[in-house]
Amino acid sequence: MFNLKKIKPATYLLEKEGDMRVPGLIIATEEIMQEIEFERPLEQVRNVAHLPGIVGYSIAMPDIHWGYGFPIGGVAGMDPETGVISPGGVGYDINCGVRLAVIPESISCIEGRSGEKLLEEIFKLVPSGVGKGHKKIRGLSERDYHEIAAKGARFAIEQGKGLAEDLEHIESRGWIEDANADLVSHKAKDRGKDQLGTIGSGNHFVEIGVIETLYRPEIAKAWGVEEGQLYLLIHSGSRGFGHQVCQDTLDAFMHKGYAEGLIDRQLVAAPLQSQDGQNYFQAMATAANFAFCNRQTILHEVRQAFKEALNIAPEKIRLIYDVCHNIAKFETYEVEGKLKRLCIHRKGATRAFGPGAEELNPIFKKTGQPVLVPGDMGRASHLMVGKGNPMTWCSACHGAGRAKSRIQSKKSWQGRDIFEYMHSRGVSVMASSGRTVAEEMPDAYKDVDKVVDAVEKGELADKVARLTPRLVIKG
Amino acid sequence: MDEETKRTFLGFSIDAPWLETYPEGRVLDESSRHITLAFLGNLPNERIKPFIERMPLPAFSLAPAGICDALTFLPKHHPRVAAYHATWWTREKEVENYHQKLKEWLQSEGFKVDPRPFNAHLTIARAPFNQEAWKKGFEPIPLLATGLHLYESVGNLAYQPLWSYPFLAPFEEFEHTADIAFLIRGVTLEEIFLHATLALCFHFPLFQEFLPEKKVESLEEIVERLNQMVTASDVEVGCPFKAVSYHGEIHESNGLLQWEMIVDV
Repeated sequence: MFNLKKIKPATYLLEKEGDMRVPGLIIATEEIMQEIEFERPLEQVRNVAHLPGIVGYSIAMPDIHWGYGFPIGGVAGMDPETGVISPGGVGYDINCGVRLAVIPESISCIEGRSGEKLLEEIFKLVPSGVGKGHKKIRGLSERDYHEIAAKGARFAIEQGKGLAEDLEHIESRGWIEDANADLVSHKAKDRGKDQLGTIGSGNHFVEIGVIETLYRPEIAKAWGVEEGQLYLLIHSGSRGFGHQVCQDTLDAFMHKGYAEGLIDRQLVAAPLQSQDGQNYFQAMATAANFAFCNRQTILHEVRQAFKEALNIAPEKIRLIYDVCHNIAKFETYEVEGKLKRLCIHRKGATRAFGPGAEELNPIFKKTGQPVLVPGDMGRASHLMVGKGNPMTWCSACHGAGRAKSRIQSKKSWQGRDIFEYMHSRGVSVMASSGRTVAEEMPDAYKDVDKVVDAVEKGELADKVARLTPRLVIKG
Repeated sequence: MDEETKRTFLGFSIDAPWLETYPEGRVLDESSRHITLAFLGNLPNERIKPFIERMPLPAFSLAPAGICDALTFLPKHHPRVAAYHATWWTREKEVENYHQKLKEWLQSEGFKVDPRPFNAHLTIARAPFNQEAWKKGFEPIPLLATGLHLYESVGNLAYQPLWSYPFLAPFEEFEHTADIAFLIRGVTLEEIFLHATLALCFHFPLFQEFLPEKKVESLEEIVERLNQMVTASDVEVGCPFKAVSYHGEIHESNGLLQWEMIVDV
């Protein structure tokens, strides 16, 4: 049992005890806490609070659930001199993230056969599910990997896969500095060589739907988001390339004894000042840049699909934003009255800079950055605006969070026509595997509306628009 | 059939990640798929209970597990059956010993036994079928013998157990919110590794193609070996698993090793 103390709306303190170096901070409503299994993820919040050099709080978002070492929905800021970097605080899918684009067309353009045609075209152009990739995907060379490390999303744009202005609408402009492909193993490079521009399996997707409700029309207007407009949401990460970077590092850290003395060996971490810590950061940044490039390539292919299926020009599909939700990044915050650079681990959490943040483009600098919160393929997703809350190192949630395990979801839909069911709810789904769809049915997730309400009450981000899906491609 | 007798045989019930559809043929229902150990012919009803009471039981309680590694058509010259050949990864010797013991006992009880060596196979369909279509559609899948049964043939390719002796599962999937998780059991570390591999094969049958050397000496080595398989399969054919995590410890209970395996997907 955990003793949580409410300190403000939707914000709870998990007080320091034992060897915890900082308290825990939980963003959630009473309703959310009652609905899900909270004990194990809270234990992970407490474990993270033991890590050397952690500053502020060990933080949990309202979509928190049990993860590897860190909870999914966990945030931790580490002091660069005394702190550590933990692959478990980033996750296997390095820079898994979401990007949102808008299409200046209404629902009528994807109704009936047109929608099916679009879905088929995307399915053809964007490989999904388990597989090497796609016949037309050119295997990446060593030189390509070095360019991806050096350029991130710009690598794809320079090859004609996107618009120059897309970069202004990507977190960190689609590139994290200090990436070094030489620090990535051949195994990782082999794993990723045919996977650039692919969605993968699990909870990754491409989704098209309608912007249903605007909560903050003035911000929506500033971003060029209109009610009734179509949107495109892409969720994917660094694929096998990033998974292997994580695994290689975990293996190496374990062998070098970095897990010794930790409360949970899954938190295995190296000092940020150490060569091992810096090598991981640079390899992770390479995988992060691969992921930016992956989502950029997928966007390009979806734009092509719109052109083929509906004769909508690629440049009309405007990228709103792309966010990372599995990452470690250096950011500057005020700590005890002084500006300090911290290594922020966000695992299943999204950066939510508020107005004035230096990195943002002029529009977002005025409003705060877009925060993308995918929900589930039946109900909704949300577009929010960051408030720059320093208590959470400017972080917000990353999704609805699972309510049911995969096995539970699969069992509950066994023997039913899930595609027909989704169709009856107004959503056409195409997937490489029926099993994945069964695992990803809407009731496998928490109600995203409740999650974003908690984010809003906790003053991490405000709702801008609610998005409802119509066409979905799953792995 | 005479109402006083039942057409019976002894066999293992089988669980496997069966295909959703098969080529043309009279396909057996999943619940009827089995590996036959011995045909008993028509057994008078009053003999069934004493037969079960005297019958030797296997010396193992943990289920034999392995791979259906080949498609076979039986009998060779005028095939009437499309079957999968089973190769056991665990309990192979024990299964053979048990089969031999059973044969000897049945002989001593006056049953006519098949003199041929044990051919572990499971019938999937009966004729008519197109052999080429079956060959084309075949892919190796893992299998698990879930129990020993005295079956009755009830006609129409259906078999129902008259008596059952369930085996302990070498792996069981349990709830995990974000990932997939299994409780793995085994007598040795090598069995833990093989059963962990088979558990993953139940999700992704192609995974078995990437099995390296079976010998392992620690849990760390098991995790590393499984992750090498994840890497190799992702490079070659794509893999639904991101990685097997460094989770948990191996515990011993009643002579069995147990490990909670969590797989990031």
